[in-house]
Amino acid sequence: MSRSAVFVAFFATVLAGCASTDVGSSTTAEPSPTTTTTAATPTSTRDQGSPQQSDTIEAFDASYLSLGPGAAFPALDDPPMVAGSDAGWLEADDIVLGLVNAGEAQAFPASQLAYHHIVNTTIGGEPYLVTY
Amino acid sequence: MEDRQTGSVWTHYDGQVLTGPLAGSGIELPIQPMVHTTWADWLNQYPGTEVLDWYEEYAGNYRSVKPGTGGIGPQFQETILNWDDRLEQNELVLGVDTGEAERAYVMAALPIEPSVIVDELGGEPIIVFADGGSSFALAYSPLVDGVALEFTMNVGWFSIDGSEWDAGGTAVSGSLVGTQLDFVTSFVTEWYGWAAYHPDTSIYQG
Repeated sequence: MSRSAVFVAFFATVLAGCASTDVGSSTTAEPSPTTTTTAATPTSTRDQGSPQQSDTIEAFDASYLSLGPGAAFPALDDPPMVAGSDAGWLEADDIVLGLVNAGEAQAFPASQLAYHHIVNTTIGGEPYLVTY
Repeated sequence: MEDRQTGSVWTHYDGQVLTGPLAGSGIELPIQPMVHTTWADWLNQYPGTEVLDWYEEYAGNYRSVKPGTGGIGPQFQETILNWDDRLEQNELVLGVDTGEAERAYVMAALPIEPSVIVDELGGEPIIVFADGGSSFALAYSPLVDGVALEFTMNVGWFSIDGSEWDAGGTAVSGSLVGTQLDFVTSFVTEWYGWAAYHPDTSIYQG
């Protein structure tokens, strides 16, 4: 299998839960991870081999679906942010994903990230990749 | 996740490359503390926060999200090879990965009030700042200058010297004000994905 084929399949496994709900499945499956990584300047390394690479591929069936990147879920690049006081669409108990860097706080509502999944942005002057 | 420059595929679970030109390079994206909490709690902590704007063009695709509920669609189920039945598949957990060991903390089992969990994982002391009422938890190292800080069992996040800590692991008052604890890779996630990627994970038993 070519590298690109592996990629397309794996990406789809991560996002496929959303695809099923978007077409009206009776159950919903949220994408599991809520992590944030700084982008653009990957710097740290781990003093070990890469045993988790094979673990990961065995954990999810990478050959199952063929949904391509960006086919259904548009990532956001440097999206506009608004003041918290202007976020009138948010309810008090809505889950948000919050980040602080260099005194700058930004919140990403789960209801919006569950569609976009990836945000390339800047927080406190540094590049961030926000993913859900 | 695919980067646009090389086409390498990255996993958000630990920032490593799975496939593509950068696989095996040792490069990884450092994971930062992301606060999973309610809007009310976040706004209270950070009144000056900005929020991702609402895209009207995508509004038809946004939907209410209740992490930890909803089951797993049949199509998605078939993509997961490593099932772990120790917890309900959608159970919301704080997954903690020290690089040496992994542990899941069940969010529903956390006290409703802000509290500190003192634990040890992979031979290292860790603490978890938690607030079950807001669905928040993150892990940090209590080591400051090589010495493990002790925390009170009171409501709130206080070390025994009286310093108060925030969700980002920073002392916001007291004698240690300004001190930053080292983040231990952790994030709130659903059990099925955490367990599939970390089949050897332990589960915090309290």
